Amino acid sequence: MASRLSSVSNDLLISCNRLGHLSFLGFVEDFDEFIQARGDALLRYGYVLAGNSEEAVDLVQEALARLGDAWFRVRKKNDPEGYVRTIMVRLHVRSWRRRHREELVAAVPEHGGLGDGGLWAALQELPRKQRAVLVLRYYEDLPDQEIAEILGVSRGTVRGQAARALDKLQIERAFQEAR
Amino acid sequence: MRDEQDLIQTLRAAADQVRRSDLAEGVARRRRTRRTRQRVQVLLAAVAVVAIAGGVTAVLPGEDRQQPGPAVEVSPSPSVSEALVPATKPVAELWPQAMLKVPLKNPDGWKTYPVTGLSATEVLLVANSRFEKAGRLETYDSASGRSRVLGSIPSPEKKYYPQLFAVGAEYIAWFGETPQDSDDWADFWIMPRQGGAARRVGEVDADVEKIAVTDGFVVWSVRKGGVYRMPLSGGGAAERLPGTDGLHLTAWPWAAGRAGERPDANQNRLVNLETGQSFDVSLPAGVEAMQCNAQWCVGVLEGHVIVQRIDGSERKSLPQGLRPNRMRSLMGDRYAVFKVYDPDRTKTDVPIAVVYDLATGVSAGIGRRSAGVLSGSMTVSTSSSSPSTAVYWDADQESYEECGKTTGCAVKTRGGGKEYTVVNLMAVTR
Repeated sequence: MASRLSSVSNDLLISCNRLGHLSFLGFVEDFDEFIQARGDALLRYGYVLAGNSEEAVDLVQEALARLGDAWFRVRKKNDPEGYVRTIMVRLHVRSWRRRHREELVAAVPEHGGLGDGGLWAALQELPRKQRAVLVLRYYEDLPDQEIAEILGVSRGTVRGQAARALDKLQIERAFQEAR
Repeated sequence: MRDEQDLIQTLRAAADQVRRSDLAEGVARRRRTRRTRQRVQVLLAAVAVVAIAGGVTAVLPGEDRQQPGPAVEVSPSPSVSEALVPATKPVAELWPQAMLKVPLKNPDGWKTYPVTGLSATEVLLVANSRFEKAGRLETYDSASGRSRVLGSIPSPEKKYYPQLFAVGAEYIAWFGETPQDSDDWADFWIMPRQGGAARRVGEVDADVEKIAVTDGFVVWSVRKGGVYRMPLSGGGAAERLPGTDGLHLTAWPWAAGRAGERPDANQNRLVNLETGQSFDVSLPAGVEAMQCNAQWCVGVLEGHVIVQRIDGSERKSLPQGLRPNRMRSLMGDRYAVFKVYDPDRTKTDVPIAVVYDLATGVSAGIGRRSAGVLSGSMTVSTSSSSPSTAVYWDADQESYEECGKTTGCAVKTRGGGKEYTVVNLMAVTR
């Protein structure tokens, strides 16, 4: 730690000391680092999509594995997170791991401190695509056009799905027209 | 009736309920499985071709899992990965005279580290008497295949550590610090290049960052900027060189001004301290970490390493598979070293790094990446004050990936420990 004399390990020490902030120089270099940094946020997203921790982990891991294989190409576009979130919602909507679905739909929601437990439970009853539309619109705060692109459907379909879902949840459609 | 705000709040609150989970290990496992599956599919495809050629039709099961298209538009990976890393010849082929093997330990068992090239055949080594404690200067001569002791590095204080070394025409100079003390202090030493006793030139209460040695003076700059000198004869006071506010010594006689406080801030001005000439560095918008030597600069722009002359001419953006070597990309007065990143783990003959000739654009491959990992280890001395002319690595050391259940995967090394392979750029004829 004390001297700048060189060795590979010394380099690391020095980098901690004086040059630690240089590690990226504009690159998001390390896929593992991306997992470390964004893993929790992706798990949260996976949870609202899937409704339970187990499937959230499944979704995130599978999407990250695909991201990892495409890491270099995706990193160049500077939006690995957008890529992985899109993969997640697509995996989820396309009945990925369908065999789990029946077991999980009936499962008791894991939340304890939710204000509106009834609403969360009702969300679990929605068809996947409808729930995905709501998550993208109200959790990810995406405009309908972008949701349509992510899911590979028309904007009209997105609006139709959202309207039906909101009706089922007995939610007043106040802001819909603005989207 | 609920409203949309209730839905937003419910989703946000629900997200907080997720159980935290370590993802890395599962991701690594899935990726390994996928790779195996891909290989199996290639084999199956080969079987299919054989079957069809044999006049038998075979229907093979496709992948049952649906693959989502990528969220972003990407070009097909083969062409991209081909363009990632430029074609390079190994340095042994390109500049065989520059390569030498140096024992990792001197005859006394002290660990040695190459500092920089001294001549076409000699490399300066520092030998550590104990952990990170420089005890001796030595040279290794590629012509004779022997190392030679130049002299001992004295330790005038407790917890004193030599820091950076500089090579002048007659002397090798260095400064030492007591880094564990909070006050700024450093002393300066010289030793004849041919070897002999070290002599203390003087000491200062300053946060010294770089050093050089000229005919009559030891010259240094301080961390907050400013260049000073002191006569080698000793006894003289530190003298600040006029007009050096904000300047940082690079390689004598050059000093650089920076666009910011941080050491990686773009260099925006180069000053020749002998002639007083000053040159503005041409900085393209968005460039980061631009560092220059007497003629050439290296920086990072939009995820690519760029190289250019100080005035911005001959600017080139290098392939994306070349990464800066932190703040030590520049080597000597016309080379740079870049780490190689090729995401294809299965590829063989990938160098760990390339030495890039800034004047000609020729790049030479350094070392060879171990199978199955994406990185390797090579070092440009961190104890040379000016950009070193030597890069070294342990060619017998193998990197491998080790995956733990809870820790995820990490790259570790095994083997090696006997000798360095050194490239001495002083030996490259121009």
